[in-house]
Amino acid sequence: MNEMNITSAQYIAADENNVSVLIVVDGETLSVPLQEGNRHYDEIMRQVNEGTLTIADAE
Amino acid sequence: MAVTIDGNTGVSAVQDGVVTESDLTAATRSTLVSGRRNFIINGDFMVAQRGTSQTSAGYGSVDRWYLYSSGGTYSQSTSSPPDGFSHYLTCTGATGAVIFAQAIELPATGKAGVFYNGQTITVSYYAKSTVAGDALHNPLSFRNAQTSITDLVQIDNDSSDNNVLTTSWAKYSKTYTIGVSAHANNTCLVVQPRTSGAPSGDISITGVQLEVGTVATDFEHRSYGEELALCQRYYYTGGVNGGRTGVAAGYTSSSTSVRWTFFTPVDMRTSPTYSGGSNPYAADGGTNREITSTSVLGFTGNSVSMIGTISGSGNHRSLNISYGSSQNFKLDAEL
Repeated sequence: MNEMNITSAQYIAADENNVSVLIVVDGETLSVPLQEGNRHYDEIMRQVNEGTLTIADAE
Repeated sequence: MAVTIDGNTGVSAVQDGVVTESDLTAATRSTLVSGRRNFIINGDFMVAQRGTSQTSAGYGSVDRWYLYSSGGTYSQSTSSPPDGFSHYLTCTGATGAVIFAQAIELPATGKAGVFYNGQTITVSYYAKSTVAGDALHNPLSFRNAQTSITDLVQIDNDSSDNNVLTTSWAKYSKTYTIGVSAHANNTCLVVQPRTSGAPSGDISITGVQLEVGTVATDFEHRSYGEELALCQRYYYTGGVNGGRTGVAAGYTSSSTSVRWTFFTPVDMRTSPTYSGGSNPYAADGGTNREITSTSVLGFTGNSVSMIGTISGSGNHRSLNISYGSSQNFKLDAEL
């Protein structure tokens, strides 16, 4: 089985703190909480640690 | 336990003084087995919160099932299930391996619980193909998540240990002895009834059961409501049907931030991923303001705290959060 094909990732900030990562996976936009154990977050961090994904700063 | 010998029925099978499963008739076993036996959720494919068909790999239709095949379409069907079932799943048109995968949550990270090293488990299901000779085998592994291969511990991956299908529904079962221990980071046991390559026909399956022991007992039928509640630990969608409807009360924590809470029917497994068909709106003193950048801010059991961005409001205002007609929000805490 293939792993997640994350095509973009950007932090979302609220009240001046990062609260989630907005990602696009297979064309679907998801808001991922900064929570270990969430499968999307764990996969984001795995790809970041492997150097294959960069999370853009919040706007 | 007292044994009565009445002269009519001899004691022939229990010569060693130990009653095992094989000493009992199937009917007796069926009568004796009780309690929650099936670790598979939605094994009869009744629940489909996301929809009834999918073509992309992933969680896209029937709950709890991660489905994958090149070129294939998975569809929940009701037209001709095996006796005793109302629903089944069919994969049509696959040009690669057909995979039906489910991740069974372990009691805690790194804790295999009942799936300890040395335990015996049995996987069973009803299946058929439109072309006789297609076959399914059942890879089993401990994983960190459904699709993760980091720290993967293989329990069984024998692609030659096949259940060869016919064009009629039949029940198949395999028994496995777990000969490994879960890794400290594993969260689930993944079972994947699958073909080795592209099947010749369309594969249908239902009544999937994974249980402790060497015997494939009758499928454990649970009510739709009970099965739905089990599924909602991992995925919940709240829909709006019939026009714009308020879904929660909220307030502004600053002039640009709005907060509210979704209460889910059961405790979710972890802080969920949020997605929505469209942005929600906040009714604010006569103005309906669009909420952007919606995020999960916090999570405790069945309470999912949300935060989003609005403009033109003020601090500490009471708001009503709404979604447009035929829109819904989705909370995903799958493994």
